Amino acid sequence: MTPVSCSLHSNIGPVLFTRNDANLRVLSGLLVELIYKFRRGDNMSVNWAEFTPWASLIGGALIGLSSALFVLANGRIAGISGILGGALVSRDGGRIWRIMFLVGLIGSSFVYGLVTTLPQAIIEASPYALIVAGLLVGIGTRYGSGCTSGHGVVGLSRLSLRSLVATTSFMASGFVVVYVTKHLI
Amino acid sequence: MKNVLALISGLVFGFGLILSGMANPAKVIGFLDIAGSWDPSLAFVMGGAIAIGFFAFKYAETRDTTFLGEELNLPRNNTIDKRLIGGSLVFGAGWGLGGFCPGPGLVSLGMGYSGGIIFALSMVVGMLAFELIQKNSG
Repeated sequence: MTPVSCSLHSNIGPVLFTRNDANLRVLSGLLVELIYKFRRGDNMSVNWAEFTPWASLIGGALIGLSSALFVLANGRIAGISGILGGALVSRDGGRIWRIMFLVGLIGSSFVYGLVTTLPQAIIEASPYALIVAGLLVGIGTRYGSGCTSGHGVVGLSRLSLRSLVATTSFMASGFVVVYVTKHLI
Repeated sequence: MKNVLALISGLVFGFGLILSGMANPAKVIGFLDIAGSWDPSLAFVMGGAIAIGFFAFKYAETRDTTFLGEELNLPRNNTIDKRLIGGSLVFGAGWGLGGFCPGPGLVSLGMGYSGGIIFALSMVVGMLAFELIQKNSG
């Protein structure tokens, strides 16, 4: 099988879609790239060096445990965007518990650091990109009534179709934006 | 008691985000970069969280009140509309751009990273803008 050059795929999108539709071009570029990867036999390159299945699984279980505690004790959904949004405007007088949850979340790295070494976070985006990202996340999560926690963890745990649609939507646009910023620009 | 438990829930949630790698934007972008060198770890975060959440919420559905005697506020909204999809698409775009979703953004603010502070403040501005738009249109 002849190896296919990597520069080929980005030219295929516009050929498949003669209409000048930027979204379709990006999506088709992504699809074609994935198809080529499979056909070349290097079944998507997995970054084994960065892969942390156990830490991620246990960390995820802690997130699940927190959500479980929160609903079974306080009767509330541990959705971060909802809690933050509610704390900012709080119409139902439930401001204190929201602020307490946020204090715990923001202070968690401090407590974590007392017990063990805090892992390093690497932020590659520029300050300008982070401003745009923050605005999009703030507005988007409030319009969509949830984020990775409220829809992704709690909603999927409850087998909610609404949350599945939301999760699929934000994952899809996340994949597309990362494809564009990492591979096209 | 309710407020103490909220504080503990927030803490445990943050520990989970830090341990799992979610609080590291480079790792989040590594997960979203399926066409590059893909790091599948974050699928395990969702898996671990849902494995516990599934049983917890199944049990919560059988109860009328919580252990503390509070009212159980489970979402009853099943509407799938443009608002839900459009909002989620916009959120995902911001997530992919910065590598932060709301929880990790706040954790990063607590860690004192300048990028985390910029992101978290912008997110708050975005949420306030949403409230303003809602107020003016309603």
